[in-house]
Amino acid sequence: MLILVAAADGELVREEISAIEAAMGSMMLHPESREEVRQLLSDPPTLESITDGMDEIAIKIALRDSALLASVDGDYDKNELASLKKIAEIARINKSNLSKLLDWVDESWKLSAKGRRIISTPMLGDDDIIKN
Amino acid sequence: MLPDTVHKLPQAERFAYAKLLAFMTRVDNELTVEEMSMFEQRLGTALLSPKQRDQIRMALKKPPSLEECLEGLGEEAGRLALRDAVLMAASDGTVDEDEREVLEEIAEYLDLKEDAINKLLAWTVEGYAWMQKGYELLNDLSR
Repeated sequence: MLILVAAADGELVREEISAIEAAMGSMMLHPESREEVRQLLSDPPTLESITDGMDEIAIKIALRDSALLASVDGDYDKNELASLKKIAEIARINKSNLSKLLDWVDESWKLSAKGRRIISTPMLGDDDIIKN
Repeated sequence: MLPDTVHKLPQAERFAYAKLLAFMTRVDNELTVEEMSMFEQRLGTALLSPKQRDQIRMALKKPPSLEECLEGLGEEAGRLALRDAVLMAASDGTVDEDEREVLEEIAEYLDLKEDAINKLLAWTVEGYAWMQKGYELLNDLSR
């Protein structure tokens, strides 16, 4: 599902690939499974083929991580947002709650910026993120 | 899955970054599932080559010395590695004395302010609270 959302805007940037690898690492996927997932980068699956057989909790977690992933290149593309809305619909999450989830994702930007400030390795725009 | 800059470092720096994290996993002589998951997450972020990943996993079994890890680290990679070492050390809920000592040693090597580790630990607590808020949000999201 992460790949599907990352590929929704028609391009996979390095930030997104790094985030997908991080997510696979965090889940401690077996190396062979990771390889299977990487193969999907060039031929992303359909949403229906993924959500068939997934329970609602798993879809919600995937939605959360997809929202985090979609934001890593700085903004949500309209196709990424459309994919997130479709996933939310399947997980029976309404618009207002999806909006809450996206607000929560925004907080990760502020947190990351704060972390970079502590170690004096800021990214362009970090000051504005922390202020807002 | 933090928006990050680790993947932008030169490959040798990313390798050195991962080596320091591998060293950190062994400091308290126990590797919890939480630490391993955090370690694998950061390894993923670093976008290492398969060969480098194998070398890093070997380093988990036979960790290099701290001096060896620090030698290969540039300034930015070192600071990012320290930040993520703090995240990893705290991932099992506690940072023990040995871990704290090593973190302070790395901060000193990187010429960071004296309170850097305290600030990073406070930031880590904030981060885990944010994650918890995410779990709670997911539980409350059903309409």
